[in-house]
Amino acid sequence: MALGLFALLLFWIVRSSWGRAFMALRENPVRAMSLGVDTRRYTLMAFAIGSSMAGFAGAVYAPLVQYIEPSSFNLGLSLNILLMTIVGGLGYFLGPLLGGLVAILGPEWLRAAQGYYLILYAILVMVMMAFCPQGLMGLYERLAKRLGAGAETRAADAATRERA
Amino acid sequence: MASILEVEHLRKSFGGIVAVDDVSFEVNEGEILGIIGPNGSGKSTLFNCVLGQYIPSSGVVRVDGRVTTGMRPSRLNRLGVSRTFQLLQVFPQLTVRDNLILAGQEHRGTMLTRLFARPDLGLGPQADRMIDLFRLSRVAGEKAGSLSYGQQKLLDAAMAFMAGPRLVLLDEPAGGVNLTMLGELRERLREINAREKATFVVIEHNMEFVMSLCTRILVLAEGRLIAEGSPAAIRADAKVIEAYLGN
Ligand SMILES: Nc1ncnc2c1ncn2[C@@H]1O[C@H](COP(=O)(O)OP(=O)(O)OP(=O)(O)O)[C@@H](O)[C@H]1O
Ligand SMILES: [Mg+2]
Repeated sequence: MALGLFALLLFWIVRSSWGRAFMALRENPVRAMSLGVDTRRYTLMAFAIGSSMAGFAGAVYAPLVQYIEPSSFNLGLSLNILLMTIVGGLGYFLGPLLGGLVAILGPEWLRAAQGYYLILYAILVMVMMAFCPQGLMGLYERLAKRLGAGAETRAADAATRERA
Repeated sequence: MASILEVEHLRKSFGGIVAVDDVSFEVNEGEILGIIGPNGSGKSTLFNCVLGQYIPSSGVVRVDGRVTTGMRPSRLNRLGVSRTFQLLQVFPQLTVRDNLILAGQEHRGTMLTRLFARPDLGLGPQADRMIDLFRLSRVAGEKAGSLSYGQQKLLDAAMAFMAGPRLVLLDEPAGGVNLTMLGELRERLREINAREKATFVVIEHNMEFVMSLCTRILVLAEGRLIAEGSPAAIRADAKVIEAYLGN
């Protein structure tokens, strides 16, 4: 429910002219500024949106577990959330969702590995950073492009064969 | 004629290097002013000081009589001053159309109204006009990063005109643009200058291009303004010939 609502809200923002400004700022802040994009205000808004979502997540989390103490929010959790966004794909709308799924389902799948799970996860993250810094979403985009290109070549091939 | 830009005793040094040394000039409303000079003579640094990218070491910049020295680039842009950079600067991950809309959107309404308005903020028709004008219709939906260098260069220039600016500073717009496109670019600039009453300052190494486009030319050498005049006068100026051939 809450996830849906927030996804909707985020989708709205990303689709609006703000989303365009955020993307421009990420790609080239100097050029964005020269086109009138107010770096400070947009950066502030990005933080505000992020923090309010985190705040809301906390508010939903408390009744869910019915017990809350500071140690549930240690550095480990922050790192884990950061990793989720990186693994999923920075700058992709579905990135964090995918990363979250991997981070939560990963331990289930790799239950057999038991204590070695964290090591495997760490290796996976490092491999990802080295070969695909755009995360899983980036990987997906690349694969889709390659398949698309393959299909085009095949179509072109077929066309040449037909002509011959 | 009223001057839209005034630069007074502008100086910018980087450590020991004085990149711009006591430069003063005015730009008249509606003119196309050229700036030429050898590599490293301080042309780009001068632009960066005028546009708030760099804070000048000393001197004053005025736009429409209002002091803008050190003003943030985003604010200056919203006052109607736009630019291109010497090195190509488009947003490779955005489409050509989104690049153009971005270049105009911060001039529409406030941040809050922009959040609730249509994503293109009604800038679609203006973007399409620019796409037509700069012959980019075939690639309008493509990501800018997939365009040829020359096309990206044209897009870069088109972005500077999206918001209907009054003053545009172009840093080497012709670099990497082929001969046919070059002629077209010159025509486009003339058109916009005449139709929208936009004032241009153009840095360019291509002499043929500057001489045929500009009505007046400034010459920089080693950070100093060494000559100023009509294209014909500049061509015949002994100091200019020396600056170009003498080192
Ligand atoms: N950010 C900087 N830090 C240090 N030195 C700089 C910086 N920017 C420019 N300079 C120096 O200032 C001088 C003028 O450089 P500038 O880029 O303004 O030249 P230019 O006239 O635009 O040359 P070109 O025609 O090659 O573009 C050069 O000596 C350069 O090394
Ligand atoms: Mg330069």
